[in-house]
Amino acid sequence: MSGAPALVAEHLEKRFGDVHAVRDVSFSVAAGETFGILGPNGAGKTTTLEMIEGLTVPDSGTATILGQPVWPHPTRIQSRIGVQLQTTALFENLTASELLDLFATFYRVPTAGRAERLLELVGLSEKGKAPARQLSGGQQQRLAIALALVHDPEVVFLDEPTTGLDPQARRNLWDVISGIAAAGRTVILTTHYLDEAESLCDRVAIMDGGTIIALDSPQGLISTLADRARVLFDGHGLDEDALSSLAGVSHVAQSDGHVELTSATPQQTLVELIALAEARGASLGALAVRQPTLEDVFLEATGREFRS
Amino acid sequence: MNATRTLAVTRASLRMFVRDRAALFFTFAFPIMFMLIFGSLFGDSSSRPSLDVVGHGPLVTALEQSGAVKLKRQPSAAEALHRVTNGDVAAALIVSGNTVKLRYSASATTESPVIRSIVSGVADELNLRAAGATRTVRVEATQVEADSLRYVDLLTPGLLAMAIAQSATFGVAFSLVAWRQKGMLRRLRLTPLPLAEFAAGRVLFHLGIALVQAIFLLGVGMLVYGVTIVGSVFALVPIVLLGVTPFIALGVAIGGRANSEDATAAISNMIVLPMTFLGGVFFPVDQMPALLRSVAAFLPLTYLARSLQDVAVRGHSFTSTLPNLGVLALAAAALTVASLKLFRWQTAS
Repeated sequence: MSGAPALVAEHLEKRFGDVHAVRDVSFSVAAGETFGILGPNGAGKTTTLEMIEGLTVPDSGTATILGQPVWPHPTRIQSRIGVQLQTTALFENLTASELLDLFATFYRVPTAGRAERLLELVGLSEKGKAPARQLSGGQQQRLAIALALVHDPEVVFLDEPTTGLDPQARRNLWDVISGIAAAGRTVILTTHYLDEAESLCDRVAIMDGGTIIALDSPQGLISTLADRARVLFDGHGLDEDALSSLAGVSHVAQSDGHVELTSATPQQTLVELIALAEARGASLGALAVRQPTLEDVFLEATGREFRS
Repeated sequence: MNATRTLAVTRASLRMFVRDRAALFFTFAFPIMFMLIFGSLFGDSSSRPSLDVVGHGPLVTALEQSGAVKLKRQPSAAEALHRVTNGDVAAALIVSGNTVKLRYSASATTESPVIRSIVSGVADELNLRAAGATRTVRVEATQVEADSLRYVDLLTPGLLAMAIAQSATFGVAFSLVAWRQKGMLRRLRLTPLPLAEFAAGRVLFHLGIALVQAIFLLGVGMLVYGVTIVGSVFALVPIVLLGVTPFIALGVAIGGRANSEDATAAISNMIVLPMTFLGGVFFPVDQMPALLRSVAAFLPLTYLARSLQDVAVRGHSFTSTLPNLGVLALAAAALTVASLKLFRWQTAS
């Protein structure tokens, strides 16, 4: 893989009237990478994506895909990128195969066998002859992704591909997206699901209020909070003083018998906690250790809970 | 311009259309409903008025020979008068010897004066002949239309004009607003399909639908009502094709700007419904009050309906309808300019 980045965004800015939707957003995505933009609704994820895709003109800043500037001639890059928009848009009276053939014609690529191959890739082989309007929400999303891939693009944009889907459909779609990435394509996706970003993306940019507040691999982001593991249990009869003197514990929170210890060394904390409980004859219900997640990264960076 | 892509858009449009029952209904069944309703209400009324007759005489014979009125024998004067009073017939002619009584109903506003002048004209003729006088003036009156045009003969091409106008305007406006709301227009913008090819594919589709409507509606008119197409069938093709274009542009102007399907329905109906009633589809424009006539002069449908009626059933030549086609082309050009100014890719937020 060459060292040249597949995508570079530099100082992107966008205002809609009084709303400063995107403020000075810069990042680059390596070829073959799966890059996630994570953030709550209204964070500026979609606007950022649309400025790069060529749908929304940036007020300032530049976007470059595969060495070509997107603006001022966004149509020049169209044949090399594939886009799935946030709102699934299909001609509902056409079948899945007809839609794929039609889009293939738009890109002037051969249609023979293409629809079958793409339907199989997104797990819709059985639905080729079904009108788009009869597909479930998850199936429509998968068809929209197949349409984004119809011309074998090098860079694929997926805007909230799993929003509104049930957990099973989301998992199925994750497999599809992993497959696309495994085929060597560069994938840029937005999501407001932390677990999605964590399991799919090589690197994640966390956006809030129109700016990127953190950018690294999911593990890199979480490792900055390595001393924030949590030991959780339900139990009474253990006083706060005793708990805060356990090895590694930096913070104790209690409510209604539910206890949360923040610890830099969860293993040692656990050993001492069990010994303490034995000594006091207290029981530890629902004992669990939780490593920091992207949610904690968001909380740390913004001081707010992450609300999708 | 890439023909393969353009035709792919047309083919996809046709596929979507034949799977859309509502669109099929409004394109074909709806105008047929109008034809059956108005055809059965007024279908038989030809330009010849009916007249009840009681008794015999030279006047009755002369009227019969003139062919200007349809005579209907009644057994008695009482029966005939009863029918006039009831409004079953406009007038009754009661002959006893040399006295002829014409009893007419003033409420039959168009037929009564016509019958009066026909009867007195024929009577004058007989009187003159009896007096052995030579005519100083002889009036030869022949109607300009093909022989005996009935209401339904004009209704059929008129309804074709209405059907073409309605399906193009509503079809274009509704699909545009739906595709914009669902993000389909933005999605298409992300493909290399140029707007011109997409538009050309859609226009081809609407031209094709209009031709099918023409075959279907004129066919039903011929089969059900015996409507005779006196003009050249091939002369109708360019009229139909050019006739759709202002309404496609009108649909783009409405659907390119309206933000919801409700707004589209309201605006389209506000424009298309009055156009249908003032454009000469159901009532002849030249029988309307002056004010409405001048409104009709600004409606493209007026020119399409007139052109189709002229060439299809009045037997006018294609060249004589060229001024109508000129107006349609002008309307299409003006509406295209307006629609390009009004068009929005996405709903204003």
